[in-house]
Amino acid sequence: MSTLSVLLVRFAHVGGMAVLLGGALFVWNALRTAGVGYDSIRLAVHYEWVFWGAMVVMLVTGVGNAGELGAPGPTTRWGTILTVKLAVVAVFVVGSFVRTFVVLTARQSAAGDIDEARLSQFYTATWVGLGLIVALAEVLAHG
Amino acid sequence: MASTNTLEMWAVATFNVVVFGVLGVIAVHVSGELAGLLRGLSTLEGVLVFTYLWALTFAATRWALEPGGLERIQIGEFSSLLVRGALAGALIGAGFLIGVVLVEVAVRFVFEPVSLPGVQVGSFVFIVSAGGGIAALVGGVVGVVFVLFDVFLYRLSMYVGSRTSA
Repeated sequence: MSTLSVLLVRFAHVGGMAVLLGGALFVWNALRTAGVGYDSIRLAVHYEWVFWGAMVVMLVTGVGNAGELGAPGPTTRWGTILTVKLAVVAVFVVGSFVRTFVVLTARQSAAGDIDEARLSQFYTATWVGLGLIVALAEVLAHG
Repeated sequence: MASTNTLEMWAVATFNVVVFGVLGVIAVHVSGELAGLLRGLSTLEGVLVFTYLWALTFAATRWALEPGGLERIQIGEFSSLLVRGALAGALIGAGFLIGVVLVEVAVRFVFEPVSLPGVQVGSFVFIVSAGGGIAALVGGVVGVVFVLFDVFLYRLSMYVGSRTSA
Protein backbone atom coordinates (compact mmCIF):
# COMPACT_ATOMS: atom_id res chain seq x y z
CA MET A 1 0.00 0.00 0.00
CA SER A 2 1.17 3.54 -0.67
CA THR A 3 1.74 5.83 2.32
CA LEU A 4 -1.39 7.81 1.41
CA SER A 5 -3.52 4.64 1.27
CA VAL A 6 -2.17 3.52 4.65
CA LEU A 7 -2.97 6.88 6.21
CA LEU A 8 -6.46 6.96 4.66
CA VAL A 9 -7.24 3.43 5.89
CA ARG A 10 -6.02 4.26 9.40
CA PHE A 11 -7.93 7.55 9.38
CA ALA A 12 -11.15 5.77 8.38
CA HIS A 13 -10.58 3.07 11.02
CA VAL A 14 -9.89 5.50 13.88
CA GLY A 15 -12.64 7.87 12.68
CA GLY A 16 -15.11 5.00 12.48
CA MET A 17 -14.38 3.98 16.04
CA ALA A 18 -14.74 7.60 17.20
CA VAL A 19 -18.21 7.70 15.63
CA LEU A 20 -19.21 4.34 17.16
CA LEU A 21 -17.93 5.06 20.67
CA GLY A 22 -18.88 8.74 20.75
CA GLY A 23 -22.33 7.97 19.39
CA ALA A 24 -22.95 5.20 21.94
CA LEU A 25 -21.92 7.49 24.81
CA PHE A 26 -24.11 10.27 23.40
CA VAL A 27 -27.22 8.08 23.09
CA TRP A 28 -26.58 6.50 26.50
CA ASN A 29 -26.35 9.94 28.11
CA ALA A 30 -29.43 11.19 26.24
CA LEU A 31 -31.46 8.20 27.45
CA ARG A 32 -30.34 8.85 31.04
CA THR A 33 -30.89 12.58 31.13
CA ALA A 34 -33.62 13.35 28.60
CA GLY A 35 -36.73 14.99 29.97
CA VAL A 36 -40.37 14.21 29.24
CA GLY A 37 -41.28 14.68 25.60
CA TYR A 38 -37.75 14.20 24.30
CA ASP A 39 -37.67 11.67 21.46
CA SER A 40 -34.68 9.59 22.57
CA ILE A 41 -35.87 6.60 20.54
CA ARG A 42 -35.51 8.65 17.38
CA LEU A 43 -31.94 9.46 18.39
CA ALA A 44 -31.26 5.77 19.01
CA VAL A 45 -32.69 4.87 15.57
CA HIS A 46 -30.34 7.38 13.93
CA TYR A 47 -27.42 5.85 15.81
CA GLU A 48 -28.35 2.35 14.62
CA TRP A 49 -28.23 3.53 10.99
CA VAL A 50 -24.81 5.05 11.49
CA PHE A 51 -23.62 2.12 13.61
CA TRP A 52 -24.05 -0.57 10.93
CA GLY A 53 -22.56 1.61 8.21
CA ALA A 54 -19.56 2.33 10.43
CA MET A 55 -19.18 -1.38 11.29
CA VAL A 56 -18.61 -2.21 7.61
CA VAL A 57 -16.01 0.57 7.37
CA MET A 58 -14.32 -0.82 10.52
CA LEU A 59 -14.21 -4.34 9.07
CA VAL A 60 -12.80 -3.32 5.68
CA THR A 61 -10.23 -0.92 7.14
CA GLY A 62 -9.38 -3.37 9.95
CA VAL A 63 -8.49 -6.04 7.42
CA GLY A 64 -6.53 -3.40 5.47
CA ASN A 65 -4.59 -2.49 8.62
CA ALA A 66 -3.82 -6.13 9.36
CA GLY A 67 -2.53 -6.52 5.79
CA GLU A 68 -0.32 -3.44 6.15
CA LEU A 69 1.14 -4.66 9.47
CA GLY A 70 1.88 -8.08 8.02
CA ALA A 71 -0.30 -9.95 10.58
CA PRO A 72 2.16 -12.23 12.43
CA GLY A 73 1.09 -15.85 13.01
CA PRO A 74 -1.64 -16.75 15.50
CA THR A 75 0.80 -18.31 18.00
CA THR A 76 2.76 -15.08 18.55
CA ARG A 77 1.74 -12.69 21.36
CA TRP A 78 0.46 -10.18 18.78
CA GLY A 79 -1.41 -12.91 16.94
CA THR A 80 -3.01 -14.17 20.15
CA ILE A 81 -4.19 -10.67 21.07
CA LEU A 82 -5.58 -10.25 17.53
CA THR A 83 -7.51 -13.53 17.94
CA VAL A 84 -8.93 -12.28 21.26
CA LYS A 85 -9.83 -8.92 19.71
CA LEU A 86 -11.60 -10.55 16.76
CA ALA A 87 -13.52 -12.85 19.13
CA VAL A 88 -14.60 -9.84 21.22
CA VAL A 89 -15.67 -8.05 18.01
CA ALA A 90 -17.75 -11.08 16.97
CA VAL A 91 -19.55 -11.19 20.33
CA PHE A 92 -19.99 -7.42 20.27
CA VAL A 93 -21.56 -7.50 16.79
CA VAL A 94 -24.01 -10.22 17.85
CA GLY A 95 -25.00 -8.19 20.92
CA SER A 96 -25.41 -5.10 18.75
CA PHE A 97 -27.84 -6.92 16.49
CA VAL A 98 -30.01 -7.66 19.53
CA ARG A 99 -29.77 -4.00 20.59
CA THR A 100 -30.87 -2.79 17.15
CA PHE A 101 -33.96 -5.00 17.27
CA VAL A 102 -34.79 -3.81 20.78
CA VAL A 103 -34.65 -0.24 19.45
CA LEU A 104 -36.80 -1.18 16.43
CA THR A 105 -39.37 -2.81 18.72
CA ALA A 106 -39.35 0.20 21.04
CA ARG A 107 -40.00 2.51 18.08
CA GLN A 108 -42.95 0.40 16.90
CA SER A 109 -44.53 0.08 20.33
CA ALA A 110 -46.71 2.67 22.02
CA ALA A 111 -44.79 5.47 23.74
CA GLY A 112 -45.85 4.32 27.19
CA ASP A 113 -44.32 0.86 26.69
CA ILE A 114 -40.79 2.11 26.12
CA ASP A 115 -38.45 1.25 28.95
CA GLU A 116 -35.70 3.83 28.53
CA ALA A 117 -33.75 2.41 31.48
CA ARG A 118 -33.57 -0.93 29.66
CA LEU A 119 -32.43 0.78 26.45
CA SER A 120 -29.86 2.72 28.43
CA GLN A 121 -28.41 -0.59 29.67
CA PHE A 122 -27.92 -1.70 26.07
CA TYR A 123 -25.99 1.47 25.25
CA THR A 124 -23.93 1.05 28.42
CA ALA A 125 -22.99 -2.43 27.20
CA THR A 126 -22.23 -0.93 23.78
CA TRP A 127 -19.73 1.68 24.97
CA VAL A 128 -18.17 -0.74 27.46
CA GLY A 129 -17.72 -3.30 24.66
CA LEU A 130 -16.28 -0.66 22.34
CA GLY A 131 -13.95 0.50 25.13
CA LEU A 132 -12.62 -3.06 25.46
CA ILE A 133 -12.07 -3.29 21.70
CA VAL A 134 -10.21 0.06 21.72
CA ALA A 135 -8.02 -1.16 24.59
CA LEU A 136 -7.15 -4.34 22.68
CA ALA A 137 -6.46 -2.30 19.53
CA GLU A 138 -4.16 -0.05 21.56
CA VAL A 139 -2.18 -3.07 22.76
CA LEU A 140 -1.94 -4.32 19.16
CA ALA A 141 -0.72 -0.94 17.93
CA HIS A 142 1.71 -0.09 20.71
CA GLY A 143 2.57 -3.38 22.45
CA MET B 1 -48.85 -7.12 6.54
CA ALA B 2 -46.52 -4.23 7.16
CA SER B 3 -43.74 -3.51 4.69
CA THR B 4 -40.27 -4.35 5.89
CA ASN B 5 -38.55 -1.64 7.84
CA THR B 6 -35.61 -0.15 5.92
CA LEU B 7 -33.46 -0.02 9.06
CA GLU B 8 -34.23 -3.69 9.67
CA MET B 9 -33.02 -4.63 6.18
CA TRP B 10 -29.96 -2.43 6.57
CA ALA B 11 -29.13 -4.00 9.95
CA VAL B 12 -29.80 -7.63 8.95
CA ALA B 13 -27.84 -7.41 5.68
CA THR B 14 -24.93 -5.58 7.26
CA PHE B 15 -24.91 -7.82 10.33
CA ASN B 16 -24.74 -10.92 8.15
CA VAL B 17 -21.90 -9.51 6.05
CA VAL B 18 -19.95 -8.32 9.10
CA VAL B 19 -20.37 -11.62 11.00
CA PHE B 20 -19.42 -13.57 7.86
CA GLY B 21 -16.38 -11.31 7.39
CA VAL B 22 -15.23 -11.42 11.02
CA LEU B 23 -15.63 -15.21 11.28
CA GLY B 24 -13.82 -15.58 7.96
CA VAL B 25 -10.93 -13.39 9.14
CA ILE B 26 -10.74 -15.35 12.44
CA ALA B 27 -10.65 -18.67 10.55
CA VAL B 28 -7.95 -17.48 8.14
CA HIS B 29 -5.92 -15.87 10.94
CA VAL B 30 -6.06 -18.95 13.20
CA SER B 31 -4.94 -21.12 10.27
CA GLY B 32 -1.93 -18.81 9.83
CA GLU B 33 -2.85 -17.79 6.28
CA LEU B 34 -3.95 -14.18 6.88
CA ALA B 35 -0.67 -12.45 5.98
CA GLY B 36 -0.31 -14.50 2.78
CA LEU B 37 -3.88 -13.85 1.73
CA LEU B 38 -3.72 -10.11 2.33
CA ARG B 39 -0.36 -9.80 0.58
CA GLY B 40 -2.00 -10.69 -2.72
CA LEU B 41 -4.87 -8.20 -2.38
CA SER B 42 -4.53 -4.45 -2.91
CA THR B 43 -6.57 -2.02 -0.83
CA LEU B 44 -8.72 -0.95 -3.76
CA GLU B 45 -9.39 -4.55 -4.82
CA GLY B 46 -10.30 -5.50 -1.25
CA VAL B 47 -12.70 -2.58 -0.87
CA LEU B 48 -14.34 -3.25 -4.25
CA VAL B 49 -14.76 -6.98 -3.60
CA PHE B 50 -16.24 -6.37 -0.15
CA THR B 51 -18.53 -3.61 -1.44
CA TYR B 52 -19.79 -5.97 -4.15
CA LEU B 53 -20.48 -8.67 -1.52
CA TRP B 54 -22.28 -6.13 0.65
CA ALA B 55 -24.43 -4.86 -2.24
CA LEU B 56 -25.35 -8.42 -3.25
CA THR B 57 -26.23 -9.28 0.37
CA PHE B 58 -28.34 -6.15 0.76
CA ALA B 59 -30.33 -6.85 -2.42
CA ALA B 60 -30.80 -10.54 -1.52
CA THR B 61 -31.72 -9.75 2.09
CA ARG B 62 -34.25 -7.21 0.91
CA TRP B 63 -35.88 -9.85 -1.28
CA ALA B 64 -35.73 -12.51 1.46
CA LEU B 65 -37.29 -10.29 4.13
CA GLU B 66 -40.05 -8.75 2.01
CA PRO B 67 -42.78 -8.44 3.03
CA GLY B 68 -42.87 -8.17 6.79
CA GLY B 69 -39.27 -8.80 7.82
CA LEU B 70 -38.26 -11.17 10.62
CA GLU B 71 -41.58 -10.39 12.31
CA ARG B 72 -43.13 -12.86 9.84
CA ILE B 73 -42.10 -15.75 12.09
CA GLN B 74 -44.76 -14.58 14.56
CA ILE B 75 -47.49 -15.33 12.01
CA GLY B 76 -46.21 -18.80 11.12
CA GLU B 77 -44.10 -17.88 8.09
CA PHE B 78 -40.83 -19.32 9.38
CA SER B 79 -40.54 -21.94 6.63
CA SER B 80 -41.14 -19.30 3.95
CA LEU B 81 -38.37 -17.19 5.47
CA LEU B 82 -36.08 -20.20 5.56
CA VAL B 83 -36.67 -21.01 1.87
CA ARG B 84 -36.15 -17.40 0.84
CA GLY B 85 -32.99 -17.28 2.99
CA ALA B 86 -31.62 -20.37 1.23
CA LEU B 87 -32.40 -18.92 -2.21
CA ALA B 88 -30.94 -15.55 -1.26
CA GLY B 89 -27.77 -17.27 0.01
CA ALA B 90 -27.51 -19.25 -3.23
CA LEU B 91 -27.90 -16.04 -5.22
CA ILE B 92 -25.19 -14.32 -3.19
CA GLY B 93 -22.81 -17.30 -3.47
CA ALA B 94 -23.19 -17.73 -7.23
CA GLY B 95 -23.41 -13.99 -7.92
CA PHE B 96 -20.29 -13.28 -5.91
CA LEU B 97 -18.12 -15.96 -7.49
CA ILE B 98 -19.26 -15.42 -11.06
CA GLY B 99 -19.15 -11.62 -10.72
CA VAL B 100 -15.62 -11.58 -9.33
CA VAL B 101 -14.34 -14.07 -11.95
CA LEU B 102 -15.95 -12.20 -14.85
CA VAL B 103 -14.57 -8.84 -13.69
CA GLU B 104 -11.10 -10.37 -13.21
CA VAL B 105 -11.21 -11.87 -16.71
CA ALA B 106 -12.55 -8.64 -18.24
CA VAL B 107 -9.79 -6.59 -16.60
CA ARG B 108 -7.14 -9.02 -17.88
CA PHE B 109 -8.55 -8.86 -21.40
CA VAL B 110 -8.48 -5.06 -21.35
CA PHE B 111 -4.85 -4.92 -20.23
CA GLU B 112 -3.57 -8.07 -21.98
CA PRO B 113 -5.82 -8.69 -25.00
CA VAL B 114 -5.37 -12.17 -26.47
CA SER B 115 -7.47 -14.20 -28.88
CA LEU B 116 -8.80 -17.47 -27.48
CA PRO B 117 -9.96 -20.51 -29.47
CA GLY B 118 -13.62 -21.46 -29.10
CA VAL B 119 -12.79 -24.61 -27.15
CA GLN B 120 -11.08 -22.56 -24.40
CA VAL B 121 -14.06 -20.23 -24.15
CA GLY B 122 -16.33 -23.27 -23.85
CA SER B 123 -14.16 -24.73 -21.07
CA PHE B 124 -14.13 -21.39 -19.27
CA VAL B 125 -17.94 -21.10 -19.43
CA PHE B 126 -18.29 -24.68 -18.16
CA ILE B 127 -15.86 -24.16 -15.26
CA VAL B 128 -17.48 -20.85 -14.27
CA SER B 129 -20.96 -22.41 -14.44
CA ALA B 130 -19.87 -25.41 -12.34
CA GLY B 131 -18.12 -23.12 -9.84
CA GLY B 132 -21.22 -20.93 -9.71
CA GLY B 133 -23.36 -24.01 -9.02
CA ILE B 134 -21.13 -25.13 -6.16
CA ALA B 135 -21.02 -21.57 -4.80
CA ALA B 136 -24.85 -21.47 -4.98
CA LEU B 137 -25.08 -24.71 -2.96
CA VAL B 138 -22.65 -23.47 -0.33
CA GLY B 139 -24.39 -20.07 -0.29
CA GLY B 140 -27.77 -21.75 0.18
CA VAL B 141 -26.51 -23.62 3.24
CA VAL B 142 -24.92 -20.44 4.63
CA GLY B 143 -28.19 -18.60 3.94
CA VAL B 144 -30.17 -21.13 5.99
CA VAL B 145 -27.66 -20.92 8.85
CA PHE B 146 -27.89 -17.12 8.84
CA VAL B 147 -31.70 -17.15 8.80
CA LEU B 148 -31.68 -19.49 11.82
CA PHE B 149 -29.15 -17.26 13.59
CA ASP B 150 -31.03 -14.04 12.72
CA VAL B 151 -34.34 -15.51 13.90
CA PHE B 152 -32.76 -16.72 17.14
CA LEU B 153 -31.34 -13.25 17.84
CA TYR B 154 -34.65 -11.64 16.88
CA ARG B 155 -36.46 -13.83 19.41
CA LEU B 156 -33.78 -13.03 21.98
CA SER B 157 -34.30 -9.30 21.37
CA MET B 158 -38.08 -9.77 21.85
CA TYR B 159 -37.38 -11.51 25.15
CA VAL B 160 -34.84 -9.08 26.59
CA GLY B 161 -36.67 -6.05 25.20
CA SER B 162 -39.96 -7.06 26.81
CA ARG B 163 -38.43 -7.38 30.27
CA THR B 164 -38.49 -4.21 32.30
CA SER B 165 -35.31 -3.03 33.94
CA ALA B 166 -34.84 -3.69 37.65
